[in-house]
Amino acid sequence: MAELQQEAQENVKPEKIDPKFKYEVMKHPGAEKIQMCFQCGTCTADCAIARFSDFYKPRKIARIVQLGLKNRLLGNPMLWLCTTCFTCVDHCPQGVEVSSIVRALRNMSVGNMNEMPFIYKVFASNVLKTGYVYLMPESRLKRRGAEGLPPLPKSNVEHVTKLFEATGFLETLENASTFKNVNLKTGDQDG
Amino acid sequence: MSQGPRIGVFVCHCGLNIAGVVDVEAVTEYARTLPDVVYAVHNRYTCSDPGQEEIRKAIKEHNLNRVVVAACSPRMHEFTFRRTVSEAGLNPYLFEMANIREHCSWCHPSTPEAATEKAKDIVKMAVAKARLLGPLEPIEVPVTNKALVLGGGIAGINAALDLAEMGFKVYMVEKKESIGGHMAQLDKTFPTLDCSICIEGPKMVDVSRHPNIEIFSFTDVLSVEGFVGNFKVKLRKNARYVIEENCTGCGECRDVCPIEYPNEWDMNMGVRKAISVPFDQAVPLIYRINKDYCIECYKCVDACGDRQAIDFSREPEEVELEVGTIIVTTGYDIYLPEEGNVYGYGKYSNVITSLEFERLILAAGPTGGHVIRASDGKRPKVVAFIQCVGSRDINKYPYCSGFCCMYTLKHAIQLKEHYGQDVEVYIFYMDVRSNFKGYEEFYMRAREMGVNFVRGRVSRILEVPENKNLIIRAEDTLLGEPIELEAEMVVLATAAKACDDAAEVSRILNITRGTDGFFMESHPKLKPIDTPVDGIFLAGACQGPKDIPYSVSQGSGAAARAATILSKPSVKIEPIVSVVDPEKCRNTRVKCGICARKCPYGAIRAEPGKPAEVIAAMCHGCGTCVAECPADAITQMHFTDAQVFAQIEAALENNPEDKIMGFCCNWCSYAGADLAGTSRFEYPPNLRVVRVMCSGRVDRDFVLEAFRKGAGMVLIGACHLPYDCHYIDGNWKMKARMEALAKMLEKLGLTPDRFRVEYISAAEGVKFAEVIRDMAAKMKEIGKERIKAENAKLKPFIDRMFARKGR
Repeated sequence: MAELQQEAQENVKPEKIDPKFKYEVMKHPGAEKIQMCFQCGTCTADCAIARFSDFYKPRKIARIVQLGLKNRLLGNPMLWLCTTCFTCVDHCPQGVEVSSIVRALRNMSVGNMNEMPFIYKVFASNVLKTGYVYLMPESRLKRRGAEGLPPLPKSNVEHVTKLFEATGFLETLENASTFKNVNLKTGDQDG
Repeated sequence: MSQGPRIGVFVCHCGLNIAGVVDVEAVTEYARTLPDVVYAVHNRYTCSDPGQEEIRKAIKEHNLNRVVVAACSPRMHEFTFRRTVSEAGLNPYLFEMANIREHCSWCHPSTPEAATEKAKDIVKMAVAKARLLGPLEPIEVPVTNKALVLGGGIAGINAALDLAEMGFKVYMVEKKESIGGHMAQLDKTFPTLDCSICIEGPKMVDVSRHPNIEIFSFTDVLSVEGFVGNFKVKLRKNARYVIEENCTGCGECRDVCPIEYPNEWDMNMGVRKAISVPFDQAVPLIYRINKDYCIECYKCVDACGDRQAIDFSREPEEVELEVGTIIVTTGYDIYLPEEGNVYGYGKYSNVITSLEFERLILAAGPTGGHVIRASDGKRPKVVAFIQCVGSRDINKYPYCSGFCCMYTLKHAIQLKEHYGQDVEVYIFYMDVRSNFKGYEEFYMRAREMGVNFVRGRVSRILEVPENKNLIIRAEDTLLGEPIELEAEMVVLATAAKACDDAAEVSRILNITRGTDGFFMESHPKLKPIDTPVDGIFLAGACQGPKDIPYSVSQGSGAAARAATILSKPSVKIEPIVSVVDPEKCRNTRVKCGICARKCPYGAIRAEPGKPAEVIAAMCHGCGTCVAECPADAITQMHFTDAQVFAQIEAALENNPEDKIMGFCCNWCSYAGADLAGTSRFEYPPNLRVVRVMCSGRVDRDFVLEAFRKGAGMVLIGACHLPYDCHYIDGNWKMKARMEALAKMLEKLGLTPDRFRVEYISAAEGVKFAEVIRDMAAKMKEIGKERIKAENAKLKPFIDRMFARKGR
């Protein structure tokens, strides 16, 4: 992160700008409309994270994608701050899905840098094991029964595994390094 | 008139609007005591049908020959009551209005007694003026039902075609060789991307073929004289050295001509022959020899052969026209950055203007529609457009040029359409202004196509010596960081400016220009097409930068405005004009002519040795000349010195030291006072207002007379400087006059605060009320004793001055 901040103090030089980068991002579902962003800032005003973070501003992320300053984005832990609440998507006057763009950038980051937050790895292995992101404790399952709720449907873990293998996600999951926390103020990662 | 004045006074309750504050009965009673008042009544609603009927009946029954209605503002109902009295056989100018609503009841609700006293004074002033009113007849002048359209761009074309279709004869004058204007230079038009010449060309041909339109191209206007309905225009047809009637436009002469020179039409990027037309679709299609380049080899003469269209002995020819109206459609020019500009225009070969880009991307242009770089003839893969070059810059042109955002979007879209992802387009902008129908969608389309937008004003452009690429420096204000970008071509959206000969046109037509150099409309909202000169109208970009749809609408609008004059055999002019007394005019004895110089409309002729003469049809009735005349030889009808003096005397008869004597111009400050009333802004009831048409009418003597009669304070209310005056610059004349007077009065011991000039617009009711509050407070502070002492000191001096003038 220190490196990123240093870069920000210099001029944005021609060699840093990649006008084609946005087309890469646009290939991801939901990110198609990045070109339509005219930087009104509604997304940032609404963002649950932006108000706590000095640098996670959806508008600014969209701008950086438009300019193609990809070094600032790919592998940047701040991408993982998005809660995917989709308020930005709901309120955008131009139909830009910043949340989806951030998801696209996360995917590109993991693909390029082989790095993801620890918790994502936990979620993924949960899905792999049970088909659920969250592993429900036995006590909770019992209480469901006591309250008269039906048992949770069992997922076909084999299918999930095949899917993980086919998409290459399984390999990514096995090899990716992890970090535990992202500092809201500085965006630095630790753990 | 055989008998003396017999005045009827009609006091209106206006429901409770007036009667709720002012004791209308007392006012009526008081009116009966005034000299020459033979009849006075009050009425609930004087403007209603029964109210008007009462006036008509009273005129007949009581043999009234003057009528005063004490009610609302004359700006509201003067016209209504003028009609009422004329229906009863009285001349409409024998009517006077006393404004006891906007100027009294509405602004003094908490002091009903003082308001009633003020209302009495206002009625007294109106009666005093009414006693001196004389009948006036509207001046009627015949109309020549032909029009002149000055400028053959798209606005002029539409104006001419509309008028011609209405059946009027139209002369179209164009200084260039072809009509069509800037639109004919463009490739496509936003936001529909129609080919420009494909939609304008047929209209140009329509103009040339229309039996009611006569085109004078390659022609200058030398002079315009006259007035509404009766303009005399002198033109000079420049020599083409080609006989217009004989030229068939075949172009065989061009083919044999050996000489080429830069074609201005192509922004000098292409060439034309010494005998040629600027572009193939030129209308009229008449060739021209440019003698600056022609070597007189006479090959063209041979090529022309029997047609015998070429005549090297041609001279410029003068033509005189008579027209009833003039529509000015002289358009705009493009600003070209001067030497040493920060964007390197003129220094770096790959920095061009948008109009040059327009000629590059045009299929019929010098490169056949290929966008190529001047440095190496290669197609640029990265093109940057820089917005607001010269525009929105107080050092150049402070205004927004209006259409640059849209044409730059058009250029960007065209590049993307031509070359797709093989070209990267950047637009450096401060704001994208894409209002009007279909324009925002066009901006969306540009973004959809992948045009890159950078919000930030470019500070500097540097050339890379090796490849002639350009490094653009700006701040990406959305990122909040300085940014550098390397482009292979830079296109500057330079400002649209008033055309180079706008000053000349303004002088010839006597129409005004704003600080921006464009022609001024009569009123920014309600008279956007009229000029201050009756019978002269504006359309298109000569009034300010405009895109095509706007120019077309204005052209049609101007045609409709012109038709309101052309369709009548004669026009009536309000007779509140100035008249010179030839006995008093000193121009017969000395070289004076001050009135002629001060008249904003050039309506006064002062030839040496002869008395000055006002051309009534050109006079707008501001009265500036009256106030300026050193011999008091000029009178403004309906606003005579005697009438104003009578009003001052009436206003200041009782307790003058408590009163503020106000002189307010009809259009701004009087209207501002009306608005203060309408808005119910309360202010102290010390003010007494004399309405004049223009502050330029306020004579020094009015101010002096007010102080001689003991006034506590004097206020002159005018339109805002520099351009709000409805008579072009009457307020400036008043300013100069009153600054000198103020100095003199101060020397004579007057406290400066007691004489005040204020500029108050029709929208500034708040300001009007504030000014009066402030003046009333100051008046109290100064105190009656001091006012009396100062006035006593002034009086002998003013008496002596007036005695000299025989007042």
